[in-house]
Amino acid sequence: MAFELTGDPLADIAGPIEELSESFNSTFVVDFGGGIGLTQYTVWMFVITLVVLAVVLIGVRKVQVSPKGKFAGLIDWGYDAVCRNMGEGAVGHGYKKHIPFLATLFFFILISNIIGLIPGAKTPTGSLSVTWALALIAFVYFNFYGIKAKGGWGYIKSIAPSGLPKPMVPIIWFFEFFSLVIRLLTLAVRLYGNMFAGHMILGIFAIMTQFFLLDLIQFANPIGAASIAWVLFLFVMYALECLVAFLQAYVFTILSAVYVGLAQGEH
Amino acid sequence: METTFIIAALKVVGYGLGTIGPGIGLGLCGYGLCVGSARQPELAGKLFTNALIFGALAEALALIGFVLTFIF
Repeated sequence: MAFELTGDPLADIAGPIEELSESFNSTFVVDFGGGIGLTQYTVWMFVITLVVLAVVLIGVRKVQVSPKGKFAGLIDWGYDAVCRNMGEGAVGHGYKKHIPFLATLFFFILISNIIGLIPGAKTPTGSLSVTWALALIAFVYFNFYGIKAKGGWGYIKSIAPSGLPKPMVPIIWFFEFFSLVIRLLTLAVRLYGNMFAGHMILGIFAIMTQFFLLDLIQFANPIGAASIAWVLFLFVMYALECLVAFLQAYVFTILSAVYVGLAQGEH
Repeated sequence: METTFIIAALKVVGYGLGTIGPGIGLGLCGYGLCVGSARQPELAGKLFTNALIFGALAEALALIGFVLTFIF
């Protein structure tokens, strides 16, 4: 959509920014009718699932006793990081059976974050629905293994740490229970907030660069020279987002691993 | 128009105020991790896991504030 220039770039960018924030809402790309369809995030989720499958299958084909080639080495290194760092370090005893779950989470979130950085692509993790679903999977998973390891009543009792004086137990239990339930919210919103805010900032800096530059060209307005600063900020924020893409995938997975370890282990 | 703008602005200001506490908390968490693992490097792995748990707890408040800006 074309926007008119008035000579005041700060007033001009209000319209495009509104359009940008609306572009983050889920809209149907493929509509089957009756409120059922595929949103742009669902379509990108399918794409990312295929990419994850392709990356891992190609990587695994070349991993023998020692991985051959840089790509297979990279996949091997990533899987090893999940095994050693998250499995052994965070889950602790009996971590082997949780590795498939954690590795799936890690690679799915990492690849969707990285694909979201390509201009034009949408990251599914920038949608609250997707992160709720991921957090719900992790939440149900660690509660299931906690109940499996300790039994229903044993798991409920183990929410409060042992060795407390008797009158304190209900109060501490309540607080610990609250922090356990809120994990569902924090896991979802941490990932969503980071990805959504990052992409929003990148979009805003891109719009500001464009409108300040247009202002400089059309009206020879000296304030338009600030577009150099905005494009520099854009590069810096893009580099930061590359870091955040890794960091959030890592944080989500290691927190899931820590929660599984807490639910299973002796409290 | 004017009131909706004021409400939107107040939301942002409120969220900004709400991040002060978790910001300090996360800073202290990272400080404790750095100091602790500098004094006892062999415990660094264990400290890192604990730091993540408490960092997640401290962050929870900021995230609740972030959600509230959408709800109201």
